Amino acid sequence: MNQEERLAEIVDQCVERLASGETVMACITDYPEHQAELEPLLKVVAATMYAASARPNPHAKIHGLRRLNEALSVRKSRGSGFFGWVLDGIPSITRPLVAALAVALGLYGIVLGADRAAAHSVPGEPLYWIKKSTENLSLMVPKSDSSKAHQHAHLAKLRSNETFRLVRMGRILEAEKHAVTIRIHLGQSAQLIGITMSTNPIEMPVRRIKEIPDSEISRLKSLLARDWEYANNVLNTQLHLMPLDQQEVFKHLMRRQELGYRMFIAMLDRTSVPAGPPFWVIQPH
Amino acid sequence: MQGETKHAQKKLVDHFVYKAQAGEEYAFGQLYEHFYDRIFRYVMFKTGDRNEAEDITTEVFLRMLESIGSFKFQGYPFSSWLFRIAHNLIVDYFRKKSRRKIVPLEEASTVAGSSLAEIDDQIDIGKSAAEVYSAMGGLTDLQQEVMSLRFAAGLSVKETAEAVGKKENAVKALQHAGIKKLRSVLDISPKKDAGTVTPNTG
Repeated sequence: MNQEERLAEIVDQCVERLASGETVMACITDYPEHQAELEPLLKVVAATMYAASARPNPHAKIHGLRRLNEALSVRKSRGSGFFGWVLDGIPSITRPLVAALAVALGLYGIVLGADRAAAHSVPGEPLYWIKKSTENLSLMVPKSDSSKAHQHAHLAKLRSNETFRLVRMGRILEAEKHAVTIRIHLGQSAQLIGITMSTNPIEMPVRRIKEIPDSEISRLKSLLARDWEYANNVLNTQLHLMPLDQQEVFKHLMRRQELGYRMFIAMLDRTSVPAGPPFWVIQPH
Repeated sequence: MQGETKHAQKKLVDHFVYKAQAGEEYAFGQLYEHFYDRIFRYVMFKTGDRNEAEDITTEVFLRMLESIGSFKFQGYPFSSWLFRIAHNLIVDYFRKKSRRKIVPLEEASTVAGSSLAEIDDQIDIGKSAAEVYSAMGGLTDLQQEVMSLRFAAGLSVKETAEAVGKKENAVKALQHAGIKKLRSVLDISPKKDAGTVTPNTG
């Protein structure tokens, strides 16, 4: 490596350091032998970074997100058209072949994929009963309590997805009713793992009444924590897309859901119910 | 530590890309949130026009939505792919506009955030954003591109290399040459009374 390449390497390292918030002086201090050459170059880097640090207007950002959301809706509706989405962008000469293939795939999907199609359904939709029946059948399969507890935790996540989907569809009342099922599944999961959900840990302390291995408890806890974190990220993003009148309902349901998850996780920790944020009094409007 | 964070971020982005390719709507929102500011800064730095930068940035994500299915995980990062879309849109923009619009001085000084203004209070940078912006015009296209991706978009050398289709060493060399050229245009010289700095032993 010649002198120039060495200097380029040092400058590059300093670029990374400046980008992460270090100062020009800190970088120069680490290379005193290159001080004379390094200082003006790093001043240029700092000045360029400064010039390139424009901040976006938050309104423009939200507007852009709305446009992206609209485009997603258009794409989705195009996808639900019979051939519209499939044939889009395909040369006309091959369209008959693609259409025939789509019919064949469609038939295959009807026979084998009804369950998969039902996976995204919400209460009130024609395929929802398939989803519920599959779940009920699956719960009837003999398995350990711990596995069933995991399954109920998974079902709580599905109910949560459905609830917020109902809100987005504007079916607020149904969403509020449906949100109860999240707590029911979490409660069943807790019961199966051997603890009773209690909102008053003083009068009714949390007790483990079953001998479930700690490893299973810890696995369930991380599943719940992951599900909640994931849902929370998604919901926070979606919150910006909601019309203002629906945002309050959305936030209210989010808080209720957070309460359920955090209580359960705290009880799995065998600690007292956490004080602070989710235990604010939530009064419906 | 910083490397670990970057690695975790890349994994998260890859996860959202997979989900977006599978048609999960929320994943598009997550990618938007993750990349919006950086794309905006990059476009803003290259066009110098806030309104155009906002429109182009939105368009980048609409294009992403249309063509995310064609992105393949073949060793190069998603960010490079996304910034290529941004680059192509900027090229289209300049093609439509016959000449580059110069950002007014006042605007240039207000668009810059304060965080980098505080980058070093010990060394006076002494150059306004508009001066730097104007000086960028003297660089080659490739040097400009590398500098924009590195300093405005905050891409790593590897990501920049993938975005411009060059090797990492070539990117470092282009960056170095660009900085030196800017230095001569901006006429920045070392402090005469700077003296010798002592090595940082802490």
